[in-house]
Amino acid sequence: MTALLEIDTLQVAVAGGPTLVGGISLSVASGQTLGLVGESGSGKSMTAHAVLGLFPAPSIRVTGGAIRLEGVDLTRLSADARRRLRGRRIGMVFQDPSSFLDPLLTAGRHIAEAFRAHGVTTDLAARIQAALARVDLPASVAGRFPHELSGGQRQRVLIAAALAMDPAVLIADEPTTALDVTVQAGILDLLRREAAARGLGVLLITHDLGVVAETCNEVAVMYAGRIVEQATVHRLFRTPRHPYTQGLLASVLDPGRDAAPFAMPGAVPPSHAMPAGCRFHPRCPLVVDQCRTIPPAMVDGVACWRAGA
Amino acid sequence: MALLSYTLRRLLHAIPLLLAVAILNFCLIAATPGDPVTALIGDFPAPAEYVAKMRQDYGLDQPLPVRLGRYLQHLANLDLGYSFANRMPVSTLVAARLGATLKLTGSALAVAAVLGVALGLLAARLGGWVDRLTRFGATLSYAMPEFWLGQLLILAFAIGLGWLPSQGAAPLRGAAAGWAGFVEGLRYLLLPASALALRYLALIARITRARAVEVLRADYVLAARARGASETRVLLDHVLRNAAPSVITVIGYNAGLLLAGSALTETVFGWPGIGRLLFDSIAARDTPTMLAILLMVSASVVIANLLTDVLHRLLDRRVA
Amino acid sequence: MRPPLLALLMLLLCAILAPWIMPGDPLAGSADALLAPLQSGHTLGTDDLGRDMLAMLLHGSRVSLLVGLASSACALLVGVLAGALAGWHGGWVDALVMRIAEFFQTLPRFVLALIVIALAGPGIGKVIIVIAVLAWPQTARVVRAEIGALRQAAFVDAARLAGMPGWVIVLREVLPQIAGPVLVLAALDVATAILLEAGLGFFGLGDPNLASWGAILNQAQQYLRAAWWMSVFPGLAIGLTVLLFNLLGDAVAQHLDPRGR
Repeated sequence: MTALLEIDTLQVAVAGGPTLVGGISLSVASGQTLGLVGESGSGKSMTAHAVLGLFPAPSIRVTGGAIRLEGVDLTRLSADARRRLRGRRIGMVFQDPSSFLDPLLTAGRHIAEAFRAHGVTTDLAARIQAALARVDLPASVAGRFPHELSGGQRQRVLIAAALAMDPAVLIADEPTTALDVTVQAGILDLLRREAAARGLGVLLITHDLGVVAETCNEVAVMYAGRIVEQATVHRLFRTPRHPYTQGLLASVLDPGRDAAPFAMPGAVPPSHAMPAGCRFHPRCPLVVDQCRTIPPAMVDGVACWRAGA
Repeated sequence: MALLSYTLRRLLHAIPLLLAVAILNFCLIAATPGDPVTALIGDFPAPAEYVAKMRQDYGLDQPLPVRLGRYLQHLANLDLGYSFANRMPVSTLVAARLGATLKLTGSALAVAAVLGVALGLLAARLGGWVDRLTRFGATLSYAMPEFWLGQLLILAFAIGLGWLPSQGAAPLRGAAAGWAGFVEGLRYLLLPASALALRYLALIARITRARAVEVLRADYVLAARARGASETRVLLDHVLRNAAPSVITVIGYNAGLLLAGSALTETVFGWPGIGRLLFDSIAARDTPTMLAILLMVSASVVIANLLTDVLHRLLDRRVA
Repeated sequence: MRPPLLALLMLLLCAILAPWIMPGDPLAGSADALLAPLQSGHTLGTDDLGRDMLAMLLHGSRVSLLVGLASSACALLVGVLAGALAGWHGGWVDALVMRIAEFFQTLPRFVLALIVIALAGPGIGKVIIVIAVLAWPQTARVVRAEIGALRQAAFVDAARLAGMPGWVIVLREVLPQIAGPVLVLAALDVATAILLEAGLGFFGLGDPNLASWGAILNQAQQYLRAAWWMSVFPGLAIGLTVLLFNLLGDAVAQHLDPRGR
């Protein structure tokens, strides 16, 4: 399996300010779904923005590393070349379908936008219908406005638009977080199915471990802008090795468990006040002196000095 | 149809407003210090028989409600009263000037709308010094009194450079025919329309830019870019559409003021329109004309607001 | 924030100290310098009646500022009261106040001001009242909206539970919150009022006993060819003063909501 998307020691920072992503490396292969897990402020969304080349503020930029899509380093491309890849080779699905759809345009127009942006202007009606069918939506949805659709339908429209030009990679940034639990399963099902059918490489960003368990093959856990552990889903859930991962898994509410709910003490450090050494050390139950000064290197999928413990 | 019922409801809402304005007009006549008739006649030396007849006509011996009723009745018949200073019915007087005013203010607003939106979009899209310059220019233009701007334009282009005429809408010897006449008319129109347009321009550019900046930051624009849409497409498909309501409101309201918005400019340039008529009638203390103009302008504002609201409804299906 | 405030201070000083800076009646002309251009003794020239431009400008600032500040203050008072009433009570009070406000907002400001002054006769007091009457609806709308929203706020409920009577809540808890946007409107109102007053003066409806910038522009109209200074300087004065208040309003708005750029 060749790597479709390769992120190589990526660094993202605010110009003249704090680092948001401190050197991470990931790879997503065709037909594979990689889950990127972390709390708010871990830098996982910034990673997604970096791949697309679209940051929410002009002062944020990639300050190091490379992002290779099918072998081509995106960070070295011209703005126009970059734009042409968006939607065409990389698709992105966002968190809250209500705010990510233009309230004044119909669902069909949104999908048409994806086609038009890449020069496809013939047979649009048929293409839109086909795109909607692939996400299990009837053709009548094309003429409806976002406010006339349910949350689940809106997200499906966004997915249809993202996959319209048959990209190789799909990035899904918290695709089900804003949806009702009953609708979530349907969306995840759809993503899994489409990924398998199209051989998509999917980068799924989420804070919900349940979603990861259901949809991903591989998982990477992010904390304070760095990856602390990376493994197959199976291995991570069975034998988590980083204290943060262990804490995350322990925090999941489980009615079958006897013990009181577990909460990790402390909070994610703000980007302008990062601890030295291992960024997790202030909250870590296994901390030793080395952790406070030297950032641990990633060895065998985990970045922790106490990994063997 | 929902739109029709909305229109009718707004119409119903507008009628009491118009009525209130008419009543206000009446109160202004009635409240004027001194005899209403002398107030109406002003300084014009009217013979005693006229005065007596006027008193009778206006039923000044009748109680107020009756007088109000008769006034409203006159209005319903589009009888705006009689102008003693000009010796003709006010409606005739006004009708003769309407065209000139609409030509001036209409062209000013149209040009300002097109340029203003373009400038606002450009400022939002490019940011940086273009944005700062546009905002600075808009603030400056809005602070200048339009009649002073008119005088400055005359000083610069009519007196200083001698390129354009400074007074009137056509040469004294009468307008030429055909194409030559049209071009000539444009020469007379240019300065006053520019003076007027600058204020509208500042306003429209400002609001367009503000809305455009908001829209450009919206999540759905990020999603559009993620699909590969170019910035131009984003501007045309998303920004224009979403910024339109605010811009339409501004243009709509100012369209309502078209009839009187130019009073100051018309006076500076001697433009033969309603604004100039207002100035003259104030100087001549021609009350019926003054009040008729007030009524007309108020009515036009109410109607313009109504049309703007309906237009909004038409464009935004969300408000179902 | 500081430059505009400094400018405002200077302007106020000029206005207040005008009779001392350039004593004498600015409107009393003299025959020795008619339509004189800029020269020593008459820094900004004179008009057709030999009156010194600088003197008229300085004294004129008093009228403009008085009208601007007074009418804005009145509009503020009425607007806040009406808006608070409407926003707090809701229901028919709200509907009534808003209808009245809508009526006044529909009336074309300048035309109405012209006509009222034309009918009632010139006088600075009347000008202030007319302008204030036309300006309060905008403030009332904003106050009503803000108070309407704050009424639902948690801290208001807390106050109510503590037993505070309605009007005390409005006064002590709610009004300070709306001070910001109201101040912005007040500054803009001053600017609009000054423009209106100038317009009235231009139409010859200013107070004939007081020097007024608009009135000078009225006279300038006939002498544009002969005396450009009669037009340029008063207009500049009006423009800069209006600009000042617009900038002040913008500065306050910026201060309240720095991200809204």
